Amino acid sequence: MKNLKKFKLLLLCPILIGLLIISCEKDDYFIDEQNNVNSEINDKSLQSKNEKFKGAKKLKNPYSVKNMNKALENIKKNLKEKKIKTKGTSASRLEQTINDLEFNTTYYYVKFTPQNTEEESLIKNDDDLHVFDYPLDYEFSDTYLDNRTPDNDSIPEYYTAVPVGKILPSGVASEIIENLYIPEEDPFFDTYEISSEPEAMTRQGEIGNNEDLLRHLLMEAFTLTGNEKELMPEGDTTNSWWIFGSKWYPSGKLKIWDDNAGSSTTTTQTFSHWEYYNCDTGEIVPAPDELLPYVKVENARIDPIDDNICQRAVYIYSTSTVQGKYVPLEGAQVLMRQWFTIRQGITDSNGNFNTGSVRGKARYVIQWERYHYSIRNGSLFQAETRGPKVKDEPWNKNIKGGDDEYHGMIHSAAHTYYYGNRFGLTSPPRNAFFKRQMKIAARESAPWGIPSSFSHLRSELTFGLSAQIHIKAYGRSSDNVYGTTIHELAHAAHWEVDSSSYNNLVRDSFLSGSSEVKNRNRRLLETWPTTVEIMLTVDRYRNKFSLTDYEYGNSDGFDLRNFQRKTVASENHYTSCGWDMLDNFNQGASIYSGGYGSSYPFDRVSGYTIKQLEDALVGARYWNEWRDNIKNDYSNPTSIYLDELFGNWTD
Amino acid sequence: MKNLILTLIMLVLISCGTDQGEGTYYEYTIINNSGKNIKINSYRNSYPKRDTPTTIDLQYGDELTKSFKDDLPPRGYDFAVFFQGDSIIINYNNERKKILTFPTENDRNPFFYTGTDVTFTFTQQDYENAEPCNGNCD
Repeated sequence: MKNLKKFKLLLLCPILIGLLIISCEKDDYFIDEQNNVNSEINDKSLQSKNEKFKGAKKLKNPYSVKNMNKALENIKKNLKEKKIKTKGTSASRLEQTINDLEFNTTYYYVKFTPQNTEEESLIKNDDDLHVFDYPLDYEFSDTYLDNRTPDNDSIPEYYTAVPVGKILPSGVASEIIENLYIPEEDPFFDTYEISSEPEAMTRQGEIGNNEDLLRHLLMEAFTLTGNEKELMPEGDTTNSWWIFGSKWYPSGKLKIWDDNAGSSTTTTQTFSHWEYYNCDTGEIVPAPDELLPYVKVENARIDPIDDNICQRAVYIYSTSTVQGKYVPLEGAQVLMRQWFTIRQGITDSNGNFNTGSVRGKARYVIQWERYHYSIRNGSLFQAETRGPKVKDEPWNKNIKGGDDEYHGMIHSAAHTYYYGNRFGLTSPPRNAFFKRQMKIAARESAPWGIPSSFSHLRSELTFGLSAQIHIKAYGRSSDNVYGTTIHELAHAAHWEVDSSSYNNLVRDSFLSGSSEVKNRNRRLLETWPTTVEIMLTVDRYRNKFSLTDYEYGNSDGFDLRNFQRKTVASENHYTSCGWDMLDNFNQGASIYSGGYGSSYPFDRVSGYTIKQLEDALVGARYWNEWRDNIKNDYSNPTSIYLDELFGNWTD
Repeated sequence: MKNLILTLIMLVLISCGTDQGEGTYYEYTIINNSGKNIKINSYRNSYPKRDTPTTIDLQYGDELTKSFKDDLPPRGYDFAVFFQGDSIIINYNNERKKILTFPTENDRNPFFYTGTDVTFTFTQQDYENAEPCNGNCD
């Protein structure tokens, strides 16, 4: 009997662990599977033989050492056959140099296969590694990448190119997919050893310096692998292949739509009617078959309809104002990728970015990731916004709508909390040696009602499969997405401030047998992040966007007024108490004294700083311990009302 | 072993984060028993201020119910959300009107009421207490 009981318990363990894993992931699988069916049908023509990347097109790699040497041999052969000639005062020495050249491996195309979060974090700890969770020698459609299904509940594989000699993250399984020679990264081509007279334009069949040689080499290598179209600017029909190899510096400006940052006025031009006039004199005349209003317009189109009568269109201009406007997207990481060459740029406070040089066409990609955090599209994959593949063109992108805006707004909040003005508050857990990058899952739906949340335990118990933070605010207004992200990051920062007290709060909030204990713990657990949520969101709109009347919680038709319009009875956990200690408004005063009435928290406390409130969390394991810490640690004339304020909410 | 199972159960319970729990369900209803057809124009004085009214027409005897399932973190629900404004003008068939605003201590003002399941009835007495407006009632 005892053995049977033990057997049952043993059986329960894997079931519980399984529940842990699927409970937070399954909902996204459902959606991904649905979408993936469509993407596979749409991309059938791209299907490769590789089942793993079914639906994507495998490309021939121009940068393999083998291909580059083959391209070099072709150049040597053409030199020998006089199809290509060297020129300049050192022509013969130049030809000899080329004939002596041989390319060795300078980079490795590598795949990392982390087995758990710790291993994944080792990759993310390396600031020089820009990795992608899809292979770099495939052509993927956006639909494909946006609708991938997680592979066997595993952490994604990561791909990149690393220079020979680079020390790879220790203990992470990696595999060299191919040996590469990337001439653009070879200093040999940056100096003019062969000739001191570089020419701006390379001519086909003539090599006068090593820049010419580089362009011939790239052309040959890309042609050998069938990728030569990548060398030209979009729409170029001149066949002037030799402009391909020139360097250019990607740049651009990124803006994001913010529903709450103000308003935008747009002018729409709509056709009204034709106006007729004498072609020679300009005198308005009646329309041939009906009399039209005589409206004089400038810059209208002129179309003669006979020898004497001309017509021009009359337009009506209407303006409309909508809530929201584009604002600079700050701190976003833009990666410029041309095969294995990856350049990084970070947008400044005006949304501008610049990257190092590339040659040929390259693709702009916003990777919604910074060193300390990574935003996941759903649960597992890195969120990205993929821009155009261009040459010599800046990327000026206004992001509005869909998951790009969603990811961008979550990024804006995370960027503020990690890198921006956070009023001296403790940062959420940072990426560092022996630490992990914060994963934020941007969820668009969760049919089982999983709310926005933070849980380090969930992440650890699922071996990193589940992100620490899940945001479920898709479709809500910008400030709400921003605030919700701040709220969950504030939970994480609370854990960082005092993990012991935090864990104690969590345990008692959910597992205590007493509802009183649950309430007094949960109230502190949720009131603190609510305070930070209000503080940082109000700061964004009042100070960054100069909306001095802005109040948080007033979007999407709601009217919370920085949570001051929450009655005591309606909210016992996510209370306004923290904000009440910062502001000087007593919402519980009578309406004749400027308050909202007795249903609301009576608040005569003011003048504390948010940093003081955070510091008082240390050692606070339930509601009143936080109050007592505040009371004991700081001198404030309103501290005599702390008992009254905290007492608004009962256990 | 028991401890291990207990720990796992605890972890399952809290594994989906700190914000667990069902969001509150709200149901708000207004009923027109005033004896007149009413038009309710709502305005918003709080940020973002809105001067153009949102209108609800409610025939005599009709009722209107709106429900809202909250999420976590919660946003709450009350008549300011119901009317999409914190100031309303009740127009009784272009004969009488009444301006009602938040905050209030008047129990004949819908903004006086909060809760999860709230019904407010416009009565004949409300009509009689409203001010004559002689057609200028919006």
